[in-house]
Amino acid sequence: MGLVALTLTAVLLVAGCGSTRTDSDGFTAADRLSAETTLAALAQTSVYDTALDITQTAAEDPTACQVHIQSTHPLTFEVFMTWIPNIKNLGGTVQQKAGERLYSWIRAIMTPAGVKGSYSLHQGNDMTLSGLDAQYGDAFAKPSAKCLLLQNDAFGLLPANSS
Amino acid sequence: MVAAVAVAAVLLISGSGANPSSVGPSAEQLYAQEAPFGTFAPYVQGGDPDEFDRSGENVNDTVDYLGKNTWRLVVQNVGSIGFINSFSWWAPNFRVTKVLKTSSGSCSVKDIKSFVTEYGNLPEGTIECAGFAIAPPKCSCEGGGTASVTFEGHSDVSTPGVSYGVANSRIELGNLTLVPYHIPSYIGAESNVEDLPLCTKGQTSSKSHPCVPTG
Repeated sequence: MGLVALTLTAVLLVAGCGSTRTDSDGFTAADRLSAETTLAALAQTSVYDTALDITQTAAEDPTACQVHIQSTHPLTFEVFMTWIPNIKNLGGTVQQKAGERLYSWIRAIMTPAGVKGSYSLHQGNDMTLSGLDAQYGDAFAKPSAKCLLLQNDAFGLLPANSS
Repeated sequence: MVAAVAVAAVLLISGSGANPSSVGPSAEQLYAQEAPFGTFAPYVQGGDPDEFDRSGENVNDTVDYLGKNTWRLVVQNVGSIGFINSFSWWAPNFRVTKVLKTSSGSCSVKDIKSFVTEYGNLPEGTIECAGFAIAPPKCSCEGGGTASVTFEGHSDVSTPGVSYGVANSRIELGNLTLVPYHIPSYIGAESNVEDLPLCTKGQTSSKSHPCVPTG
């Protein structure tokens, strides 16, 4: 009986949340669960509304959507999104500036505790691509996983190796 | 025998079956739920894209003439996003000479730049403002907070006996602080945390002292 319990414990440890094995994004299984919890909390803020709004006005899906582990103690995620407007979808360049949109970004810092923990939620617009590039920081530095803006108040965390 | 089965289970789970990415839906399932960026009517040449469904309204601005080349710009937050912290105001064929007063934050005059329009290149006056926290509306069905900027300036066009105003000016939002809730679209809608107090300057929201950051 003791042997069975010991073995089951080992199974759970290796397979479950205690594992420190990381995937190609640099996430453990526990990190992924926490990231999904954080994204679910973020979807209940105006971050989701803003992301959807920019996607409509830029006439394009987000150029980048990354979930980066900013710190491990406490586990804190940086969700960073950017948009480069699709001028063709906006009607070409006939109206020049009138048809253009700014380059946009969202940076949300949040823990799995959501808005009950510490957080910061910011959005910005830049007139130039270089200005947008300057916002990226280390959003793509591992551990960092790709996310998606989904329908119906949700963000999705893509599995590793699925870009 | 029990030990052998258990070891086999450990090996199976710790092997390829324990990929951390195996948690949750597949990429295919997620892409199928991705938010579309719109199904728009074909663009008609000469139409104003700002009047199409590709546009969103986040801010209103009005300009009043106060006399003696003095003007007042009023900016109102009407969006479902959050607090407006910085913005730029652009006015073609207009020269801003001095910012006299702001309701909060600070504004400065930028150099005249050329602006490409369907009427050709026009000189454009610009005011850049930062350090504001223009509050979003409680409901997207009504207006939110306002800010004002009083400035001196004049039209670049002059005709004896004719007074020119400001036409075709535009606002570009810079930085915003998003709110930790959905701004409801009708009055009386239940919202998650909109009744929290605003954070004071430098304060961050925490479990023990929740508040809404403004910038």
